[in-house]
Amino acid sequence: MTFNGGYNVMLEGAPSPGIAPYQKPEVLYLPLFSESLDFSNLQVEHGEAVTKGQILAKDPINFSVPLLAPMDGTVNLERAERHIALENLSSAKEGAAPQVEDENQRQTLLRMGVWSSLARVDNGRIPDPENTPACVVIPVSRLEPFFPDAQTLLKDALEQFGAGLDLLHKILGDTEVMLICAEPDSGIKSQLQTVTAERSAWLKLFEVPELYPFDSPALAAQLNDLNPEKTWATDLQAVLAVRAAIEDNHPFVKRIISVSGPMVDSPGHHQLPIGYPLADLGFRNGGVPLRVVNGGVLTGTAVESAQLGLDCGCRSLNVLEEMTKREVLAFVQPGFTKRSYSNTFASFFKPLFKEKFTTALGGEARPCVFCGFCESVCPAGIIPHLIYRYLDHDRPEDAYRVEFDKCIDCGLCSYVCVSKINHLELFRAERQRAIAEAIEGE
Amino acid sequence: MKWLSDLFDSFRPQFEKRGNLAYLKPLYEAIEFIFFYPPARTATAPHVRDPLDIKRYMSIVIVALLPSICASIWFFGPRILLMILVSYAVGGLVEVIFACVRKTEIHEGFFVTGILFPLILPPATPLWVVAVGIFVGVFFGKEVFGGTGHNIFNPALVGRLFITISFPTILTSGWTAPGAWRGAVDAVSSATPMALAKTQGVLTPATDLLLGIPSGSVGETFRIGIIVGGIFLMLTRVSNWRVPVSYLVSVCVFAFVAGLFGWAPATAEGGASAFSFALFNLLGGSVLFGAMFMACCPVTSCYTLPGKYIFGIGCGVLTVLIRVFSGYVEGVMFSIVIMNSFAPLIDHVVLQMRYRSAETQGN
Repeated sequence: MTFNGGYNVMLEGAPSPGIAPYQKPEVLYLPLFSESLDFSNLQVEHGEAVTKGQILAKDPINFSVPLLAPMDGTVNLERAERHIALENLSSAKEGAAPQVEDENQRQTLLRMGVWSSLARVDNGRIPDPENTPACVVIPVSRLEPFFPDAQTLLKDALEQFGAGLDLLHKILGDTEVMLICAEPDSGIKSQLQTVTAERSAWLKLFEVPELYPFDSPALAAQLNDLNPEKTWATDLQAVLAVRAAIEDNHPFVKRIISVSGPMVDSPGHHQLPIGYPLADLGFRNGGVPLRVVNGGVLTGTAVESAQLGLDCGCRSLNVLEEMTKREVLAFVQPGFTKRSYSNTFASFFKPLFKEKFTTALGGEARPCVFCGFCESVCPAGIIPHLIYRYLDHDRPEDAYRVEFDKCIDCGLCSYVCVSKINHLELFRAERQRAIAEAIEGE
Repeated sequence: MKWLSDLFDSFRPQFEKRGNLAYLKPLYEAIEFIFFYPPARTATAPHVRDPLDIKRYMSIVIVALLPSICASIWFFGPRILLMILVSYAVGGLVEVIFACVRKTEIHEGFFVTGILFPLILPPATPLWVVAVGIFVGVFFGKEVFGGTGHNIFNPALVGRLFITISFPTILTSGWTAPGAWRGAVDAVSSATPMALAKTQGVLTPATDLLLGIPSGSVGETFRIGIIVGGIFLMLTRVSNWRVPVSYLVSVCVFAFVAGLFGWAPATAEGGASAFSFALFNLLGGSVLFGAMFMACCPVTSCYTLPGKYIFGIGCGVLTVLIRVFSGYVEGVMFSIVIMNSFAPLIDHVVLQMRYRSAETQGN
């Protein structure tokens, strides 16, 4: 197996392993949106008392995946715009979700909020519960700074993980499953090997170098010649949630998320209910403006100030300082504290170190000078600057001819760009356009 | 630096939309942003970015040229500083006028062009010729194509080409002997090694070439400095090693072949060996300077990886052909300009082949 490109961004503030306790919330703010979902179909009324696991709203576009009540409480629709506020919270008795007769297990997963953790590799959308994948890819190690760490997620849960994989395999029509593991020396690999050894007929361990973005399911599909339309991706927590939903009747309403980055006092993992107030997470703010990124720092989206609670798709929050200062003569400084893909900074002579990144662009936008960094760093082996030029000139057919469809959305081309061109933004826009066109076509 | 930023702040209103110097805004911003970067931040993913920007990228090239610049001042005197100054002043003026007319930023590529151009001229070039050359280079070589990133030809080479054709006498008489200005040598001017080889069949020894003892263009004589600078540029990844390496290797190989065929100039001993002819071609003239600093220009060479090799080999073959068969003594400038014009075609063909083979495999 040959791997092209790749580059590790060494960001300060990795989450420490283990789950840290959190402050009990007074009220939950459940956003009626997430990056991929829009819960426009409300199922409850203002003032209604709901129980844990009850459906509050559905997304009609995405196979009616539900937004579930994470705790018992009273619905308040007026407290915040585009949020369902849940007040008078009380912890429910364990396993209190209602049983439904005559339901197949896929519908159970859908009703329990697990199905929305599945995504098609080709377009990132939630797959049709009627369809069956050829393979499900599950990244175990996460290489983008920073997602929850596999050690923490799988601690004391290896048996449940195995049981979850068995169920997933069975429910999804005897699909094959591939785990992506990138930690050659840690204990995780040996643990996973025991899991795969018992299920070698359909479970595969795909080992990748510890280099971003080789944990990408889309890249794994390309490298293993899987059909991207029939390959789905999910994560470790969803596998555990499958078991909990089917065997213990637990809805998937609490997630382990990592709260990390240079501006967090003690970066770590927390198990939080959906809708947990972001204000209660206590980011360090010594008067400097902060940016909270939902997801990794390379591909995630900035949390809008209007969003008050954790959305149901959140896996990690990264907190960066917003750049407000003006650097003095930055281009002639030796640069002992800045690490670069090129070797143009004095830090080249230092051992690897973690950098305190801000949201600085680090320069001015300029036309492309064909330096070739984006091509050499690209894990998919395509030429990002060429595709950018085609798309920028409104020639998508040419972009697809030079294999734009291989792009795995990792963002490294934009990260290294000398001319500060944001390839990723344009590529995502084009993909959105293509998806919208495909939906209209249907 | 507070006083300086206050100074900029006090001038800023003059250059804003309604200010009476609004048309000079690009110039004002270029100067301000050299000292104080704009507080630009990422808007969407990726939220963090590599700290390298185009200003530093271009500055690294100037750093890599420092050994050559210092050596040229040592060899040819402080007049070289005047040539650099004129080049920057006139080229900068063209750049600023274009930026102000187009209402865009002033692009940093000019800082490299402005220093490269005097370095590839004969040391005795009159200052007004430097001015004319850089004007033509920046104007017709770059700006009419749309500025940095859009040009087809290396602007410095366009200027040099213009001078070569328009002022042929300067190109035959402008070769000051290194060290003549401080009386280190008796001769005021001397023939370049390439001319000596062509007219008299004398191959200058490699050590003389490396140390810069014989005459040549301003920046090309001290070849150890060029090699050090070029390797520095490749190690920093600012220049892609593929073009210079394939250029230099192909010059060696084809000069060796030419030597085998007996095309090397006859020397007093009755014909240079193919090996010494290859070595002479590698070190003599401006091959090293051209390969390390001109041919590898990312904008005007090929951007596909196979294209870079083809580009380098093409430059090498043309250089040797021109040196051996044409009436000109040196072929580096012509070969790079000719290959510049072929670069888009090479890229096109490489892409066609690459993606056609991908399609047939898919089927």
